[in-house]
Amino acid sequence: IVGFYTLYHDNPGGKYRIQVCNDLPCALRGADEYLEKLCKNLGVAVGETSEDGLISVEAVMCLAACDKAPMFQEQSYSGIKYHENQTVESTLKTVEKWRKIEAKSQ
Amino acid sequence: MSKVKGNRILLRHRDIPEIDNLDVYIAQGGFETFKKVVSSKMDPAKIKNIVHDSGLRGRGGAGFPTGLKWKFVDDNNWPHYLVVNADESEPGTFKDREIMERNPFQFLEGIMISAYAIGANQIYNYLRGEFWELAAQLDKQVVELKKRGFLGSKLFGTDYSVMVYNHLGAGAYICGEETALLESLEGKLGQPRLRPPFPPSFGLYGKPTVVNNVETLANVALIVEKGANWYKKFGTEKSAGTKVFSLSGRVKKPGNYELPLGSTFRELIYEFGGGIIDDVKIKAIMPAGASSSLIVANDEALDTPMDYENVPNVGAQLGSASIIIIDETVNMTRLLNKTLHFFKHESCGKCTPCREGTYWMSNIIERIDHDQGSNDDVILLNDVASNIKGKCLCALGDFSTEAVTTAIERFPEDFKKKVTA
Repeated sequence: IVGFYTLYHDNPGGKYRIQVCNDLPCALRGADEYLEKLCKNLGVAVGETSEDGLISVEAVMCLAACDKAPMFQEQSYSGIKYHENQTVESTLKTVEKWRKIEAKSQ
Repeated sequence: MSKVKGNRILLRHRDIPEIDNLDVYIAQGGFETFKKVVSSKMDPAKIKNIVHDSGLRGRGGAGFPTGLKWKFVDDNNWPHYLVVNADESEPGTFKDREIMERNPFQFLEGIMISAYAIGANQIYNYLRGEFWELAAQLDKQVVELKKRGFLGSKLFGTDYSVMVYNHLGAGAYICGEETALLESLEGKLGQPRLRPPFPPSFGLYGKPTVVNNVETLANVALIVEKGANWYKKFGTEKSAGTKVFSLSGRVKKPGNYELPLGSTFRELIYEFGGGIIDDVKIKAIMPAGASSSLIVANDEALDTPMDYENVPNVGAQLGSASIIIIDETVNMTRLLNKTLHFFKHESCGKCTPCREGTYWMSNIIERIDHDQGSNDDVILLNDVASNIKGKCLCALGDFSTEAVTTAIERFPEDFKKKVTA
C-alpha cells in the first residue's frame, strides 16, 4: 500500500519535501524551467535530498492548482501546504526561512 | 461580463463577500432549505424528483443525470451512504477545491439535503490527500454546524440524524474513479471494482451508495430551494444549468469561470481568459483535462457551444470541463510525453492492457519527443493505443489513449517534424 499511494514514502527523504507539479497544464506555464533552475540553485537533482538532510526536491503529478503555476507542495512533519505562483527566487526565500527555523530548534 | 453577473450559482463567493462565514451564509437564507426539508419531514422522493426534473447532470466528467442515479438506490437494503468525490486529480481541474475553500457552507448544505433525499445518515467526503489544509478547514466547519444543531442526531426534534466525515486519500489519481474510491475508503488498495453491480445497489461496505462530485452536490441546495424550472433557465435544453470551467494552459488569465452550459469556447478563451499568451495563434483545445481528445482549434470549434451534446460534434467530450489551451509554440509530441508520463504513473496496475500499454506508450513517445523515433514508432504508438481501448475495468486506460490517437490523426505534421523516415 505504501508503494501505491504517492504521499507515503519508503525512504526518509528530507525534512521538507518540495514537490513540484510539472504536469501538462503547469508545464505550459513554465514549470519545467522553474524545476530545473530550482534544482541547480539548491544543488540537488530531482528526487534527491540535500546534503544536510533538510530538503528533497521531487516532481509530482497534478495538484489541482493549474491556474497558479508554477507551484509546489510542501510536505513536512507539520503536514502539507501549498505554495502557489512561485518563482525560483520566492522559493529560495522559503527555503531560507526553513533553514532559520531548523537552526533555531537545534 | 453582464451575462454572468448575478447568475453565479456555485461561485457565489465572488458576489457575496465572506460567504465562508456561517453567519453570513445563514443571513443569505442558508440552511433554511435544509431545515425546512427535515423539519417538515418532506418525502425524499419529492426531492429526488425536483433534482431529476432540473436536468442536473454529474459534473465529475461522465455527465450522468443526478436524479436518476439517486432513484437507482436500492430501498430494500439498508443503511445507505452518501460519498462525495472530492478527489479532484485530473490535470487541468481545480474547480472543486475553489468551491469547498471559498463557498463551503453551500457545499455542505447541498450534501446534507442530498443525504436526506437518499436516506443516508452518514456522509463521507473523500478528499485527495493533498487537500490537507482544506480538510482541516472543513473539519472545523462541521464542528460549527454540529454546535448550531444542523448536524448530529435527532435534528430539529425529528428522528433524522446525519453526520459528515472528511476523509483524506493518500495521493492516487485512480481513487477518483468511484469504485476505486470506495475501496480506498474501506482502507484497501484503491483499485476499481468490476461493474455491475453499481454503487447504488452495492457500494460502500456492500451497501447502497451514491457517489457524486463536489460541484454536482453544491448545486442541490439552490435547486431544492428555487425549483427545477429556475435551474432549467440556465444552460441549454439538454444541458441545464451553469458549469465551472477550469481554464488553464497558454491563456493570459487562467482560472475558474462559471458560465451557463452552451457558452462557446471563443467566449471562454477570448472574453474571459483574455486570449492567448503573446497573442500567438491557438492550436488545440483539450476540453476534459489530460484525458481529453485534442480538438483542432479552428473557427468551427471555437464557435461550438460547450455542452454535453455539441462538444462531441468536434470530436471530443466535455467531461469535467477542464479546458487546457495549447498554442502553436507547443509540439504535440511534448504534450503526449507529459500526459503519458502521467497515466503511466497513475495506472493502478490491475488490468494488463492499461498497466503495460501506458508503460510502452510512454517509452515510445519519450523516444519520438527526443528526436530518436522513426515513422514506425508512430504507427506502433497508434497500434498500442487502439489495443488498450475498451479492454479495461475502468476508464483510465481509455483516457490515456484519447490524446494519443487524436494527436496522430489530427496533427500529423508535428510527428513528421520529429521522426526520421
